[in-house]
This record gives sequence, structure tokens and C-alpha cells, in this order.
Amino acid sequence: MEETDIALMARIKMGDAKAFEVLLARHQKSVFNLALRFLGDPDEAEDIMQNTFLRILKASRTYTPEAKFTTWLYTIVKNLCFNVLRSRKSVELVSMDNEYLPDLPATEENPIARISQSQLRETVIGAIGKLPKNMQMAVILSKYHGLQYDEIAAIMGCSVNAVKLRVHRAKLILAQELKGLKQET
Amino acid sequence: MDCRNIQRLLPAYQDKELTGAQVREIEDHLLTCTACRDMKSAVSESWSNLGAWEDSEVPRRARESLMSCVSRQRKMLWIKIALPVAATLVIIFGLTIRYMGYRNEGRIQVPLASTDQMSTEHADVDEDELIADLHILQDEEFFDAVEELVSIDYLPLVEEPSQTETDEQRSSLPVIVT
Ligand SMILES: [Zn+2]
Repeated sequence: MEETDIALMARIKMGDAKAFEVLLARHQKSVFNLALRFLGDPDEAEDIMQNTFLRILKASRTYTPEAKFTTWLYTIVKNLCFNVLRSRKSVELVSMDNEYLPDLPATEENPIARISQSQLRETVIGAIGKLPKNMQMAVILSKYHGLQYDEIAAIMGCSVNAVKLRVHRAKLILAQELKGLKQET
Repeated sequence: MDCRNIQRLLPAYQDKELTGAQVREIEDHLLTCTACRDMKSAVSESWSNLGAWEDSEVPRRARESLMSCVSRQRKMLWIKIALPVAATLVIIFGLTIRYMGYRNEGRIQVPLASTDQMSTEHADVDEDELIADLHILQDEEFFDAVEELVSIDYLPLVEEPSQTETDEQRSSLPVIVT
């Protein structure tokens, strides 16, 4: 049976380097991809992956499992990602005020456009990139990491209702952006 | 509800988070409104289209440089632990050697003292005093040394007490009889 993350953390606390490698191998890809999708920069995503695991190593001495390990892990990644945004002096941070509702006339016909997989991928990246940052984080955690709303709320430090609102609004915006696009078969 | 309000509720409808009355109203509306039906399809299709942005592989060098950074940190940790321990052992060893040295001096000087017409009894008393003084000396020196050690960060240097100081201490010992 696979050793749990919490059991691995207990071994890391005792200085077990092998346990650290197992934990790294298990989670590096999701940590890297969360940062990559959120920041859009592979170098920054690499830095965040490394910093996240160095922090885990450092925190292992005092780690007590209060929540799910992945909740703690993604909270570290989320914080590091928002730190990077702040260092970019981004103006798109993060109040509920700039989480807009899309215009929804939606009456005209949308002819179906057949596009290649790579075109669809680029369009998706562009559409997610246009979302406000808090919405983006909620969408990425929900869609690409399969997290439930309550877990996303714990990671983002907000209410479950705020997460629902963000994801629901994002779905409407993305529906408008991606409407009528179908991948060629 | 008008189309705009219906469409706003579609994601919550798909998440099954609406009341029974809201669900009935939306389903009745969808039966007759093409635009809202299209929007409903668009919401679910676009969400599934997000899958076109697949996961990327972690660059191998990212993992490698992380692991080498971790092993460097581990080595530093060992040095931090090992150096003070080694220094403490050196001090204890040094003090033990000196203590043994004093004891031997005391033993040697007993016969010397007796050749100088001192009684054995007198010599014994002197030796006891010597040992008592040495205990005090040893404790003080030990704590001085520890204090010095903890005030140094990572590279403690063990300094020998100066020769003159040692001589002074020796000359003040009651066993030295001329
Ligand atoms: Zn309608």
C-alpha cells in the first residue's frame, strides 16, 4: 500500500532523505503545473516548485497534520504564486470588486468553428489568462486539480460561497470566450 | 426570471445547488428558449474544453538542482551539530588531562615534602586541599569555556589558557612548598 503523505512527513522530520524524494516525486508535477498555469512562466514555475519543497523540508520539523496534506501543500504554492504577482507589481490583484460578470446577451447564433488541438489549447490559455487572478486560481484548482469547493476555500482563505461565486462566474465568462469552438477530429 | 437571470444561474444549476423551485423554473424556461439552451451547452462544453491545456512535465534540471540544494543544506546541518560537539569533547579532554597532571604533581611532591622534614600527615592535608581547589578550578574553567563556546557561531576556536595564568594559579596552590 502507498505510504500516506503524512507518514512521509513524519519520516522527513526524522531526517529521512528517501521519504523526501518520494514526496517530491509524488507532488512535483501538480505543484509545477499549478504555478505554470497561474503565472504562465516556466522559469517562475520552476522556482516555485523548488521553493515549495524547500519550505516543506524546513517546516517538517514542526509540521503537525491539521488539514489534508495537499491543502497545506497547495496553500504554500498559492502564497508563493501571489508573492510573485506582487513582485511583478501586478495591478490585477485580488479584490472581489474586480470580479466582473460578463455581458450575457448570447442571442446571436454562434457558428461552430473547428480548430486544431493546439489552437484550442492557445485559446483556452488566453481565456483563462483574462480572468481576474482570484478567479483563475479557483478555476485551476477546481478544473485541473479536481479539488472540491471547500478545499479550495481553505487554500484561498475565503468562504466556500466566495469560491462558488468565482467558479460560476468564471464558467460564464469562459463559455462566452470559448463558445462554438470544437476540436477537429 | 428573464434570460439573463436564467443564464447567471446555469453554473449553479449544473452544480445542483439550486432550490427545487429554481430548478423547475429553469427547466421550464429551457424547454422554450434556444438562447439559454445554447448557453447551457456552452457552459459545459467550454469547461470540458479547458482539458485541451494539458499538464506539462517538470524539467529534469529543476528536480536535480532542488535535490543538490537539499543535500547541501543537510551537510551544513551536520557541520552545525558536529563542530560544537567536537569542540566540547576537546575541552573536556583537555581539562581531564590537566586534572590528571595536577594529581600526579601532588603525588610526586609528597615524598619531596617528606624529604624536607614535613610530616606525612601534613602532606596528606595539603593534597586534599589541592584536590578541593582543583575541583573549583575545573568547574570555573569548564563554565568559562562553555560560555565562550556558545558565544561563537559555527567555528568555535578552543584557546588554551595563557602560560602565565597557569603559573600564577600553580604558585597560589598550598602544596608548593620550598
Ligand atoms: Zn432564455
